[in-house]
Amino acid sequence: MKSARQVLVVDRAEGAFLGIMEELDLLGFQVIWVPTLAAALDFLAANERLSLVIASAAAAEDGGTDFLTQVKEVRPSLRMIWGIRATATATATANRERGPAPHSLIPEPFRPDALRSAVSALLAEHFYPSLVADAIKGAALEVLRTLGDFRIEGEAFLVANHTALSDLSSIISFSGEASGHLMASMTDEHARALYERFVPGVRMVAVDRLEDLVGELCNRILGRINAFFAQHAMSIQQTTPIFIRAAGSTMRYPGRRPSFGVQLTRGDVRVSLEYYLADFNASKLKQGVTDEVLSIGEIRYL
Amino acid sequence: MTWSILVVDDSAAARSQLRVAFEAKGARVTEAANGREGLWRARAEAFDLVFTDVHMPAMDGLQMIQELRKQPGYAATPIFVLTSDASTTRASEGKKAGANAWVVKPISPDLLWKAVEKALFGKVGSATKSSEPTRSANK
Repeated sequence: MKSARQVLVVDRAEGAFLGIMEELDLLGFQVIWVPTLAAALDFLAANERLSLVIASAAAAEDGGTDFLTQVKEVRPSLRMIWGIRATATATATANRERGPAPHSLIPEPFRPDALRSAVSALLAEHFYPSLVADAIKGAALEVLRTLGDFRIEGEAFLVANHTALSDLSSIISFSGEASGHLMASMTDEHARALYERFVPGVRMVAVDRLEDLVGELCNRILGRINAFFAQHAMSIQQTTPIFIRAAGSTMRYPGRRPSFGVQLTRGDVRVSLEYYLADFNASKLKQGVTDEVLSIGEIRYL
Repeated sequence: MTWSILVVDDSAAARSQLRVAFEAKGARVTEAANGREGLWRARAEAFDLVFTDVHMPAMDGLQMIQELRKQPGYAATPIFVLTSDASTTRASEGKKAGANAWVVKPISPDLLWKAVEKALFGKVGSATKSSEPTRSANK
């Protein structure tokens, strides 16, 4: 996948969006700043790779409706986030229902988390097409439900190098026609609860063994995700797990794309997954399912 | 006579899961953490059935199966690959290496035990064609 897509930031004064501009740059986007919507229109007419426009309230007030109308005509798929003044929220929402509107309205002053969430949501398809995101969630549920009634509690796109670690973490890398890694993390206490289900009747489990369970679950989930890619004729090789004990620490890796984080829970037990897809053969995904794979728990006699 | 089963997997948790389940059925389970250790164990003792993972350090499961098939006494021993790898291409490689079955994790140990019984009662793959008698359990 090529990631040299562009994000256009429209603001009268350069600087209000510096934080998010830096994050988008880290994710591999080319970020361009222009001071007016007129300049933005000129830019989008000349640049096919433009994925997203983020405009401040001040910029959006200056010919915003005309801009939206023209964009809808010439580039209907272009994503837009607009700032609105906090006092104008009700009016803006009403206007949005009546005519052309941006995909997301965020009150100013921007809270970094709100802006980051809106950007992530609008760019998610660029990094993790819904088929892939669903495969990741489905694989996690398929495997963890052998250990109880797990459900997905949350999902988020995380900026690479911002990974927070739990007590026990395991990472498995994969390469081939899709490359990246999967990390599974949980607390010592939650790993112990899962171990009791995994190997019934065993008590006093050493932390090495708990860590090993985290690695095995990571391996099984990645196996199911890789089965999804194998269905699309993509060949993937995975490594054996490595383990990290570093509660409260962070991990950094040289990724220029966000990872996809999924939280799964069973009662009080929480499992965190972070899937990082560095690259994959998107053209094969478009061809649909071409290859047979084995089901979970299937015994194929050879 | 008790069935003797070799479980080769780099995950100690996965090995424990099978050990506890199979020992409860009366089998004797020996563990190995990779293909190389699996070969050592198999040279030291004759097993009735072997389970092996694929992705392991030192020597992977398919290499181990190829080597094992060359060992005296293992030409017809049922060997099951137990892996998270669900690719049919990889399963074909398992067949070429000499595996009798390809099992996709996770699987219930009870279901796996039924497959063990089926294999050791002489109904699976080359185990049925062997001139070497498969040891039977006193079950």
